[in-house]
Amino acid sequence: MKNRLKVLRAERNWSQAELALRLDVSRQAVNAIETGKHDPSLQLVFRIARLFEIPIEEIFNDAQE
Amino acid sequence: MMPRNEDMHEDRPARLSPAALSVLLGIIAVCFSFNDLLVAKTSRAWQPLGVLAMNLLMVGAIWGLLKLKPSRPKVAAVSMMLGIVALAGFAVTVSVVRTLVATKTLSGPWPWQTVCVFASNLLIGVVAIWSFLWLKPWKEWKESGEPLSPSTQKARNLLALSGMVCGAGSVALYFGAFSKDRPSAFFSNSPVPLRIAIFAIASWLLGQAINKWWWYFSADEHQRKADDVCNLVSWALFFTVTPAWWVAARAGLLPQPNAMLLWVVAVGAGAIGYFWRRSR
Repeated sequence: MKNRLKVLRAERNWSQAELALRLDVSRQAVNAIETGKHDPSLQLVFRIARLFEIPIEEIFNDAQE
Repeated sequence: MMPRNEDMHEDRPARLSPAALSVLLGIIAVCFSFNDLLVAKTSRAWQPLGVLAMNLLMVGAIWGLLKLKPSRPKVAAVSMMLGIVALAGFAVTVSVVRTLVATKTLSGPWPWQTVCVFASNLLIGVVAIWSFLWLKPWKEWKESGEPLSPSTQKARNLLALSGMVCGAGSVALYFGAFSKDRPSAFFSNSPVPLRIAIFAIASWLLGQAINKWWWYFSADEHQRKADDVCNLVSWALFFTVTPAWWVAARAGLLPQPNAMLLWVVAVGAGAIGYFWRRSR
């Protein structure tokens, strides 16, 4: 699943480790999500959306669209 | 603006020179092989070759891991394998001394084979420990300085705790298992003193409870996915190979299935699956 996590993170000048700390996951998890190697769970998707204060659709999009 | 600290570990230079460590690993391989040839005189003809192949596979795996880009999983895997090698080497040296004490020949003269087995395994242990100290795996975490989320920190602590608990039982079994026929009785079916068996079993069960329950539910979902792959690979390998070996043994093609050998292979395959899923 494609996402804008890396862009959003860069806009806030956060490192992967800092984002991981805010989401309470490992840095490897953030890296895997950003590179599309791991599809986050619904629970984590909501947590990401709440952290960036934007709708889920503006972070994640289905590759078929 | 570029984010800070991004993938910083990938730019870190390798601490070990692959060429230098290859020489050290070569020494280990030669020592293992020499040792196998000396102690295998009572076994079947194919066994020394099988053991030699396994030793070379393990040393080759360490060497192969070093060829990968520097990363924490790589350092962790190499450290673990070097630890196993060191433990194996020192356990055999202790077993040799115990055999000499039991047979009341400690004061000598020692047969030349005994001297060779003792010296080669002592060298294996020293080389493995030296390689471990050279690798400095603890610096991977100290030098990065990156913040850790509470769940990641907790998961790491639990994994370390689980490793220490299981490790204590393994060390007890390594040094407690004793056979007059083979210097190393860890993976044999020779008798184990009751108190050592109870300690080893208790530490194994406690360590697994920490790992399979407490750690699993403390780790983040990415780690859990990797652990799921590890479990799947291990189970699939055990599930597939065991009946085939059992039938082959009944037909006289192979010796009786060895549970510990199957376990080691399943754990090794699972670890490869874990690191592949975690760092791909």
